[in-house]
Amino acid sequence: MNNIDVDVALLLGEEANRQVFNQILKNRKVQLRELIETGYSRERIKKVLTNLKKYNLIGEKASTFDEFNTYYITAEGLQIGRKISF
Amino acid sequence: MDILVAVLLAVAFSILISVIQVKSSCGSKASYRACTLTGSFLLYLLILIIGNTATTLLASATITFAAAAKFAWFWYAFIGVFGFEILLKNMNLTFADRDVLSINDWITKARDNAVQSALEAQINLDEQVSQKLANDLLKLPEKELDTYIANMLGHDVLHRLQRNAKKQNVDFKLIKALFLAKQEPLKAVAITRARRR
Repeated sequence: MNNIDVDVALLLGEEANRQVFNQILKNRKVQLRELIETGYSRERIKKVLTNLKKYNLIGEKASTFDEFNTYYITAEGLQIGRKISF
Repeated sequence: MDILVAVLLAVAFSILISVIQVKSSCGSKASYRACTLTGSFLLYLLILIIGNTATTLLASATITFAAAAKFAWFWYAFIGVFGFEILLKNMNLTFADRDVLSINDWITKARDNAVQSALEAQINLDEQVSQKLANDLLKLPEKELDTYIANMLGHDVLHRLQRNAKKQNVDFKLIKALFLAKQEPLKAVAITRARRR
């Protein structure tokens, strides 16, 4: 119950993935335009988000404009968030 | 009679605890409406009600207050709800010496699902507000809408929206209204209110 999946651990071992995940975890829901303010390029952020979604750590609600796409923490993401400390 | 009132009070405590737990987990990112009007929240609430009712009944069956004691119903419910919290932290289901699931994990999972559903519900509510605001902005003459966008967001944004609308072959005015409603919702509300006066 207390173990983190190795793939998820490797994913969050990378700085950009961890930073974006941490921001979504802390804020619960964030729009793409806010994530871009972390300093990474839009492409990089999108790649990170795709990876986090792949492991069901975050969810996405698409909008008419992609900068308003909203990313939110999932139940799985909350569990992982409790198991790791940044 | 005391037991019936105690159970009703335990149900009331359960509602209060579940709302506080889910709302505090969402922070300011979800309204009370979004937190409570989801199926996952009802499931979480149901689990708490069952647990709290069971421990309240257990308290009333095992603890005897003096006949003259007032508010015995309150103490049964109080002890029952706190008793359930203690059970949550200490009771595990095991099978063949392996932890299958602790009640605490079980409740936490239900709460996490309620939090996720609350966030999804809030995003949907926000989207509805944006759509309504965009519909109000559509009532403005297009030139006026363009002026507001150019003034608040710059000409570059206006040109970018035009390019995107052309590329995607969609309604340019609606795109502009939606963008303004999402980018500057408070200012958009002010514009539509000023227009109504």
